[in-house]
Amino acid sequence: MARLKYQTLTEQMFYTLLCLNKECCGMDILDKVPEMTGQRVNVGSGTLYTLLEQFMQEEWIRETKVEGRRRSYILTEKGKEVLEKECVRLSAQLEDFKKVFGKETK
Amino acid sequence: MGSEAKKIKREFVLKSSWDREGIESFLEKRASSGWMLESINDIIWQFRKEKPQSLHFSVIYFPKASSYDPKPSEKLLMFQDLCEHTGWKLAAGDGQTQIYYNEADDATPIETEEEMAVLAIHESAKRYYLPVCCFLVILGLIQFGLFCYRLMTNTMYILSNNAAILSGICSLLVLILPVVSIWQYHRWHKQVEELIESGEDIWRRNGPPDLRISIVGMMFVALAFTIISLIGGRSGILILAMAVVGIMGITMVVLEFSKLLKKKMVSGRVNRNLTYTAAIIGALVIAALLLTVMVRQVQEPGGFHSEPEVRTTNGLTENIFHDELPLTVEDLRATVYQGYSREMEYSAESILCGVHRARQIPGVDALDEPKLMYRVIDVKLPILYGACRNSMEKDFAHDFGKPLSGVNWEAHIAVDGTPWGAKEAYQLEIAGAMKPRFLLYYDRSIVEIEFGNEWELTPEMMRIVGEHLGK
Repeated sequence: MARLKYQTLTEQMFYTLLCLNKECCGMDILDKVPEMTGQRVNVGSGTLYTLLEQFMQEEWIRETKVEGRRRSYILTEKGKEVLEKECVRLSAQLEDFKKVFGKETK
Repeated sequence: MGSEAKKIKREFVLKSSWDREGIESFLEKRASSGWMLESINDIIWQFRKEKPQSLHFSVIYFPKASSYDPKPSEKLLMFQDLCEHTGWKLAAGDGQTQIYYNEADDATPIETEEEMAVLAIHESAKRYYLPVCCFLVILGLIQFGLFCYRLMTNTMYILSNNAAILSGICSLLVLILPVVSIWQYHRWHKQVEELIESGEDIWRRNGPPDLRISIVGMMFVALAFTIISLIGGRSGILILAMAVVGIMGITMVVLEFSKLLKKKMVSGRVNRNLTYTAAIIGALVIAALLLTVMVRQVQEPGGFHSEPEVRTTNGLTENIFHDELPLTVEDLRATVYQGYSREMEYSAESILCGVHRARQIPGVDALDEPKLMYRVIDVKLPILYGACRNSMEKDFAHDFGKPLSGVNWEAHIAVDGTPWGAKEAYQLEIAGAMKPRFLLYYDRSIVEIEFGNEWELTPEMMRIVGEHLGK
C-alpha cells in the first residue's frame, strides 16, 4: 500500500476505519461515511473494495461474518492503533496551526 | 430475424484497455445515439439498440478476475453488489476489464481515490499484462535466436527467402514489442505515482500502452512485407499462405478449446494453463511444419525444376531437365553433344538478394563430356555484400570434407580477376592440389563456378562467364 510508506491515512482510509469501530459490511460503510461527514467525504465502491482488501492484508480489520455475498468486518487492535496514531498526528498539526494562527482565527 | 439483427450491432474496437477516459466517452456517445453496450471481448464489442440515454460509464480493472473464469467469482459479485449500491450497474465485463454505467449525474464515482485506482491497475497488470509480455519476450528470444542461428549457418539461402526474412522480422518484433511495452508500462506507473504524490490529476495522462496495439502494428508490418515480397518475387508464397492459414486455424482451435473448458466449468487457472499449453504446442507444430517445408524446398531440387524428360540408356533411367540457364556449356565452347541435362537446382529471389544454383551435366551415355556447375548470388542491398561473401567463402569447399588433421587442407588462392571481369578472383586448392573451382567477386554479385576436369579454360571463356553471370 503506497500511502503506508508515509505512515499517514487519506480521509477515505480514515473514515472507513472509523466506521469499522462497529461491525459493518461494505454497503454500510458506503452509506455511513457521507452521513458521518455531512456529505463532505464520499467513498467510491471500487475504492472501498480495494481499501478493505488492503486493510485485511495489513490486519487492520478482520472479517466477522459472511452472509451470502455480504461480508462484515471490524477494526482490529492494530487498526485502532493506526487510527489513534493518525489522530495524534492530526491533533499535533492542529496545535501547530493554532500556535501560528490561533490568535488571528476563530 | 431481420429486425432482431438490426437491434444488435458489433463493432471492431481497438481501444487500449487502459484508456479509461477514451472508452468512457466512446460509450457515452454510443448510449446517447441509442446503442447500449451489451458485451465485450478483446476487439469485438456488441451493442444493443435502445432509446437514446444520457449515461455515465466507468471502466474498472478488477485484478482477480480472469477471462478464463467459467463464471464471475464471489469476490467479483461482491464488488458488483457494492457498485450497484451506489447506482453503478454492470454493462459488460471481460476478464479484468469491467464496465459500469450510472444514470445519475451526481453519482459518487466508483474510484474516488486515485492511488487505489492505480493500485488496481497495477495489480491487474501484474497478474495478466506483464506476465504475457514476459512470455512474449521469452518466445521472441527463442524465435529470434533460432533465426539468427539459421542466418549465420545458412546466410545466403535465408537472405534469398522472403518467407524466412518475414519470419525473422516477426520474431524480432515479437521480441522488441513486449520489451518496449514493459518499459513503457513501468515508465507510466512511475510517472503516475509521482503525479499522485504531487496531487495532480493522473487521468489527464495517457494510460499505459496496450500490447494489442503493438500486435496490430506487427501484423501491419508483416502484411506490408508480404505485399512487397509478392510484388518483388515469387518464392515463399506457398509458405506464407501456409503460415497464415495455420496460425488462423490454431488460433480458432485454441479459442474454441478454451470456450469448451469454460462451458465444462473448469477453473479459470486450469483453463488458462491448458489454453496456454495448447497455444504453445500449436505454435511449435506450425513452426515445425513451416521449417520442414522450407528445408525441403531448399534441399529438394525437384521443387525448382521444369518437368523432366525420362531417358533410359543401357538399362539406366535418368531424369533429363531442360531448364533455362544463364550460362551454358554451349555459350563457352562448341559441342556436338545434345544429351545434356540443364538443371536450375535452386533459384530464389527476395527483396534482399537472389540465389541461383545451376548445373549442366551429361547423361550416363557421355560421362566424358564437359560439365559445368555454378552458384550466383545477386546482392540487392550493398550492406549485405560482406555477409554474402563470408557465406560463399565458408562454403567454397563444401563437398570436399575435411581430414582429421586438417592442417593446410583448404586454401583460396588469389588469381587474376581481370579475364573474368571480376574485382577479385580465387581458385580452390585442396591438399595442395588446384581444383577447377573459382570464386569471383563482382560489384553486385558473387559467383562460384566449377568446371569439370575436361575443360581447358581460355581467357575468352572467362570473359563470357563474367558477361553472363557477373553484375
